[in-house]
Amino acid sequence: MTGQSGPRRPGRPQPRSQQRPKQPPKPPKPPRLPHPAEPQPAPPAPRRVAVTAPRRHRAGGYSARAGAADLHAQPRLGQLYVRSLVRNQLRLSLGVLAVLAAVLGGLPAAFALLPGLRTSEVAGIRLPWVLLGVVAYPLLVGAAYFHVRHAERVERDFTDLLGGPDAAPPAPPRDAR
Amino acid sequence: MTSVITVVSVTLVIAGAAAALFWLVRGRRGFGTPVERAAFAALHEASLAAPLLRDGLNPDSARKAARHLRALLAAPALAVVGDGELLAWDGVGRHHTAQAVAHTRDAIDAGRPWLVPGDTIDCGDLECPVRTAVVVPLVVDGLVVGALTVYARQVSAGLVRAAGEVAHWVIAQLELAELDRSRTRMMEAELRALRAQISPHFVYNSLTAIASFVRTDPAQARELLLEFAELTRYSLRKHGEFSTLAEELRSVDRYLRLERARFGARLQVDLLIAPEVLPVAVPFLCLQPLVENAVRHGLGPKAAPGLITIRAEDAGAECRISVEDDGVGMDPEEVRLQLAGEAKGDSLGLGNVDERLRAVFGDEYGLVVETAPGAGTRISVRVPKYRNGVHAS
Amino acid sequence: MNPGLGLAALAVVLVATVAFGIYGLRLSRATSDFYVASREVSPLWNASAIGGEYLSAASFLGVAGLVMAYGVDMLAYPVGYTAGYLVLLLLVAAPLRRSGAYTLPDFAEERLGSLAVRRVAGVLVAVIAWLYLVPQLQGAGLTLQTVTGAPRWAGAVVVAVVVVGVAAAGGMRSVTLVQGFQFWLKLTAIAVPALFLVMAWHSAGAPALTGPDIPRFQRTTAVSLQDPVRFEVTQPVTVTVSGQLDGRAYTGGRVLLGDGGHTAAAGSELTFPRGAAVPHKHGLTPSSGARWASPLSGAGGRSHPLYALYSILLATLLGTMGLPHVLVRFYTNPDGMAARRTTLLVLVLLSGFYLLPTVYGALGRVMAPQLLLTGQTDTAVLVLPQLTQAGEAGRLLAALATAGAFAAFVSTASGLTVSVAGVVSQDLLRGSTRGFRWASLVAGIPPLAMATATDGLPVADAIGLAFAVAASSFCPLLVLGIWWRGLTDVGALLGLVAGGGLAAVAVVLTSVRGAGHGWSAALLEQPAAWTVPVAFAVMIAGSLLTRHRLSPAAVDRVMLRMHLPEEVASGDLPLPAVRPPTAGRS
Repeated sequence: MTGQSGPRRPGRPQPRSQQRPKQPPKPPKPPRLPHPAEPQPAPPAPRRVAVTAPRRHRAGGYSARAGAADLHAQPRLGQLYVRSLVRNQLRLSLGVLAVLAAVLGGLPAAFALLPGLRTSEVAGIRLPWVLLGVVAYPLLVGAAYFHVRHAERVERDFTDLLGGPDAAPPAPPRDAR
Repeated sequence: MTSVITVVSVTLVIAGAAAALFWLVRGRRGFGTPVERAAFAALHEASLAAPLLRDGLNPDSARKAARHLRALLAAPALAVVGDGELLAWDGVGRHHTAQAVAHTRDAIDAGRPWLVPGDTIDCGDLECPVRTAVVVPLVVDGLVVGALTVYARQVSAGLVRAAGEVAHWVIAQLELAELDRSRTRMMEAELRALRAQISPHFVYNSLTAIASFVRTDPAQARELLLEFAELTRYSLRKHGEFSTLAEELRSVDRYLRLERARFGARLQVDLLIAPEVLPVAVPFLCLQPLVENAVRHGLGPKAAPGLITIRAEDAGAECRISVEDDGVGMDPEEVRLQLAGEAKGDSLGLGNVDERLRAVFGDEYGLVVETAPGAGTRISVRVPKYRNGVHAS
Repeated sequence: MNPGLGLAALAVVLVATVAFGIYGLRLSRATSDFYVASREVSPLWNASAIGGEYLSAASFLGVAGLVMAYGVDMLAYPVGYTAGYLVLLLLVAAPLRRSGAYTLPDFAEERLGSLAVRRVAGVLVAVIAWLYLVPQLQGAGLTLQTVTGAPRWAGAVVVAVVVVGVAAAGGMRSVTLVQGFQFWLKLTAIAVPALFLVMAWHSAGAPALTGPDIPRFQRTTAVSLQDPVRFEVTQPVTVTVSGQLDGRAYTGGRVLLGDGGHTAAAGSELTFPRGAAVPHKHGLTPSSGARWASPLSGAGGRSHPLYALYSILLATLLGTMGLPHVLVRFYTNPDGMAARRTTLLVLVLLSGFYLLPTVYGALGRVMAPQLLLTGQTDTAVLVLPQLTQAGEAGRLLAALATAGAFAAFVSTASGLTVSVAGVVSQDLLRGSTRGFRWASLVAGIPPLAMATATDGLPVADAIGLAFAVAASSFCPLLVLGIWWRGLTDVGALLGLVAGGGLAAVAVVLTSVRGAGHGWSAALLEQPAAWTVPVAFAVMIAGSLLTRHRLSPAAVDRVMLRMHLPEEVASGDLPLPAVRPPTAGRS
């Protein structure tokens, strides 16, 4: 729905004589795109010519432009909100991490300090094998599940805090009257 | 014996873990102390005023912003003065408005905060809280564009400080507004041009096609009308220069549905998508002009059924997109002119997309159009998955 | 093993990989499919792909081999590999996805706005990927040798050529389906034979694993050597030898092997009588079942087991997030919340997988003790299935295991190659298409050279070093970058160079001088325990000293983007105006 509005007839099928390799005067070396096994149209297909816009020696960078959209979001102001969010998330993560460190880090220490643990058995299998080979995994999954649930809840709480109980319809240029 | 130790130690570890998690869950609640909440409130007021000031200083924005600024300062009255005229007065004591500009004169001349003593303001009414004032000039880019006057029964040191801070904040907003304007002006110009180009032909054709269904298939007509509405909404959305490929494809889908209503079985579409490139950020409305070009130039003039193939493939740190048709093809010379921006007439689509891609990602990333009369057309784009500053919104 | 079946398994994996890579695009013809075709990847599918890319030679072969040789301490590797994803989930997953970065250098640039840090990160990506690729290729060589008797370099070359070739040709048009398929292939390939293995162990009378004795041959066993081996005999034994032993040629003669070292040439075959104590390869200390099954016992001749255990845990826990091929898959998630859920599913999938190598490692000691003699414990997963079932069934199981192993090499190697090629072509060649092809070669050739030139450490150990480098460079960058506003570009740069550099030096020294004893060797073989704290300390100190370089506005912007839920950040709910105006206030 964009483009020219007037009716145009571009690229009308030309008379046969011109249809063959109609090389333009000077094709500006296009970067060949690797497209293997491209389905070609009908049998007497004339060769396509690749066209690109002329080079204009433009630097690829874009960072200068990034600002406007973001400034709009008022980072200074937003940061005040976000800090509470970040702090809550970090606290949650560090908490789970501490538990993980205590359990995983505690195991070798326990084995080192209590030699009895090294050879004790549970259901006929040595305890260290049970703990490291089997029990560790459900614990890890459980910790991950716990974290995902609570991290999502923190985000929900945060969104509620922003939107209020009756999340107002989004209308940026709000007239506060 | 050891198994007792085992059981005890394992129980202890698990209990410790549970206790730690309980503490976490309990402690997590709530977002701030009363002091913080007061800060939230202040922040909130400021945030309400911010977008208003983004329009620059004019009576309308000043009037709306003044209420929030006054709430921020908890002052009985506040005036915003522009270039020699009162822009807004908020609060009590409106009988003082006539002198509001005069109150600011000293401060504006000095270019620094000024205290207005009680004897210049006094209106003789003992109940009137507008007795003294602190005036802070608003200096943007070295030019005094106005002043902020805060009235109070007795101006305290705290209020002077607060007024200064608020004025600084207002100045920052005004500066941002200036920056915003000059920055966005250029890049939005291109996009605006594209958005405004909802081709009358497309509108006409779509509505005609919809109308033809109203009798025969009202459900279909309704469906199409909704697609049309959605398509228009997406194309005219206000924010964001970038969108995700998934969203662009959704919009293309709507567009194609409408075109199919018109072309029927003459228009066939193959879509080949690598799902891992769907979250890639692409310039807003960069795909649809390509598809439209395929429909219009590829199939429009052709009687036989036409096939359009849209591909999006994963290529390491890039994504490759191509739109191909087996239509009548285009004249390479004509395409070259279009891409170089030298085409006559109002052909905006391809050149605009090419221009924006190159501006965003660099010269390597322009459109590649492979075509010849009678040979169909393929237009290819490469998009890096990450580029600093490019984020879909 | 039957070479034909093995080669067929290899061919099937390669063809399936390439075919899925090329034709794995979603197709729609009718408009009603359009939505389905353009729908984002579901967490389960994406999690399978992440798991597929992550389970490398180290997981598929190496863990079982290490457990077999060195005992229960080595379970720290699979636990750490899995727990690494938990740490990634806790600290990195959602914010990284929200940052929009595709690679680690992207993240560095996004967060710090510094091209210098970006370049250093790019170099580190290449180093880590090379370190990670070498054992993959060596594993491929070992597998092909075990299966067909082909020379070591052949398997490495096959995998490297396929992976680099496909990447350079731009053939991987869609990766998710390939990697997802390979995860399930690997899980099947390790789970089904494991089942038969346990059954076979039971029907053999469930011989004890934790006995007071060193491993003995359960039956008369002929051991064919594909490589020359030096081994230590602890109890004199009479063996039948064909081929060269201790410099003399035999053709089926009986020889009494006395205590001490012996050398057998490649191609010779030694037949041990039932009940003989298994001689161990030189460097691998024989240990009793009881010692092997007990933690921190230093079974197999490892020094400082407690330190090594902690260092392994630290490296794998913190290194996972810094692996170049792991993070790129997170980009496929539509948003931060999906990234979290995907990680959770990855944990579930990996947990299921890692229950199994232990079975091979433990039962391998009684079922295939000859691997302790040849030193090729890394092939336990390939050799054991054949011993569980007689005839065709056993061969099919072995072929399945081989297919799984090649899936492991190919998926991890292609993921790494594409990641490195992407980084190199973006940063050095400014993103031209031709550049990507050259970059694929750059990514693939050095590790191939290293893999064929060196004999190498045990696979899982070698990978542990890659983890150590990642943990001491990218882990601090990610963790501090995401959670600490004070990180500066200079601090990050210093930290990356210090941590990554120290770990890399330790890796080089270890591989040059080989396994050693004493504290210096332990510190160099498992460097993570000291390089990670050093990296964190340098990064923090460097940032504090260069605090003036911080640009609060820029940091705010990035922090906002990384931590804000998408629904808020999308702009539909712009922060300042979200709360309904408090009309009564003014």
